[in-house]
Amino acid sequence: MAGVKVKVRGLAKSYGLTPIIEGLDLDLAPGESMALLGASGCGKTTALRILAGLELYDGGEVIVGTDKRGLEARSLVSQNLGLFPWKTVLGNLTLPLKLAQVDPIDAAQRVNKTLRELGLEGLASRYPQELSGGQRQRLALGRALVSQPELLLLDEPFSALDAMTRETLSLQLARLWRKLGLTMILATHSVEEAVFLGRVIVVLGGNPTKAVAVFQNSRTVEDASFWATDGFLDLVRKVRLALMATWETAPNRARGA
Amino acid sequence: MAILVFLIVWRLLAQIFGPGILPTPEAVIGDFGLRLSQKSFLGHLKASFYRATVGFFLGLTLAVPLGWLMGWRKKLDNYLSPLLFLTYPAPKVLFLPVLIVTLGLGEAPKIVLVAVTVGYQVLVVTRDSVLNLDKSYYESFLAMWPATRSSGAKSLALVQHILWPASLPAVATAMRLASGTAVSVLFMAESFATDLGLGYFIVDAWGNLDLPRMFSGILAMGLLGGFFYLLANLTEKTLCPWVKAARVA
Repeated sequence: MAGVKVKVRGLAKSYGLTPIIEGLDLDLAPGESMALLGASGCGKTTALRILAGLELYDGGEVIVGTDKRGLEARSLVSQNLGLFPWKTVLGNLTLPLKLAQVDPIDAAQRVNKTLRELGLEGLASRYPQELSGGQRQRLALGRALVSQPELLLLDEPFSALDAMTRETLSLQLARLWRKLGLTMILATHSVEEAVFLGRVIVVLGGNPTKAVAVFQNSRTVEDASFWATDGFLDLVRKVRLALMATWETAPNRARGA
Repeated sequence: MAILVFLIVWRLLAQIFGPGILPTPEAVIGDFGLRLSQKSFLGHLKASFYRATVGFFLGLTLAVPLGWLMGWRKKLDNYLSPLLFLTYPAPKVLFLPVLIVTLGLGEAPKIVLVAVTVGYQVLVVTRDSVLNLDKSYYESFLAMWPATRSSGAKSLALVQHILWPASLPAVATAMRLASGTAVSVLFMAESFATDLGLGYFIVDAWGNLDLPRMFSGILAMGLLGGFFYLLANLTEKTLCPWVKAARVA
């Protein structure tokens, strides 16, 4: 699994007559991670869905790698996870591989590896509704990773979880991202989560939305101790200030959060 | 327990009204046991069972795929919905004279009437279950679909992995609802222009004021409806194990 570069230039998207995003530029090198921060309704989800190929855009340019593979090379974990309640953990993880007609032996190995990596062994025969919130989140992440995507997109990945589970899963995700070397973009409301998981942090603001501030995060170790370092806390403060400056222009939209 | 309470209430009412109006449960059960050894009663039972079963499965087989298509393809739904809107509220038993005129006096009108009754209920519920399906399931599926595979294979996979399992619990519920109405319309269909079937058996006993015999027929029809109800439960239990998991969780 190798990451791809992502280049967005002058992206524009409207819903009806309401422009949501206009002139959004994003740059991400292969294997890097980016966090999109912004107020509710600013278009974070819309941007991710466009990058996932699930939504059309009105203007600009979106380049994801060389696009040699189809949309299956991009995996999106949506806010409500989209897990199939009628499939077990094993069934949910196997489906992307079955659809891609991966050799069953190879598929079984990949699924077992994913179960191991995400600590879901022993839960393979359970249904998603029998899992805890954190386990469901890990399953959604596993389903996104099992097809070996080049670009992982996460929309508010841990928003429904308690603070401790969020931090544990953030750490697990950071380690997986580093290990797999894929490109990752996540949308979040949490400044701490953005600074912990994003090597590039983009603050979205304005009406219509565009990137108003970009921060580089120079950390090299995905370690729990990073949460308590001065560098982390300093960057959190700077990003928070930039985010607060967008509040006055924050749109109050019902869709496209 | 509920059955015991029902039998006690029935027994008390039989005591109040007397055997000329309401026979006791033991008289009816005794008569029913006796009838089960009679070839003529078994013939009525067999005819009704055949009509109800064929009609039930015919309705189910036609309605489920059409329900999927209507829920999935907006154009087809827009095209057929006005017809559904106009005909759904009409009691299906009203079609019986039309069916007898067009299909004759044989098995066909009775079977078709059961099929139409079951079919309407299953169609509406299946269509609604697909229409109300969480959008994220479609999107998860679409995001997984490899660009290299054909769109024909995509449609089949969508039915197999999303539409079929997602609509099954609703289909099982519709089957439960339809089990009662299917037997009701069968009773109407067998009430005239035939001398075979439990509907005829009940009406004939009623005409002769043979109340234990009439109640035996009613009991048999009730059991027939119960059979389809159990079948719906079995379908849900076997094909939708995740429903039970959701209830326990």
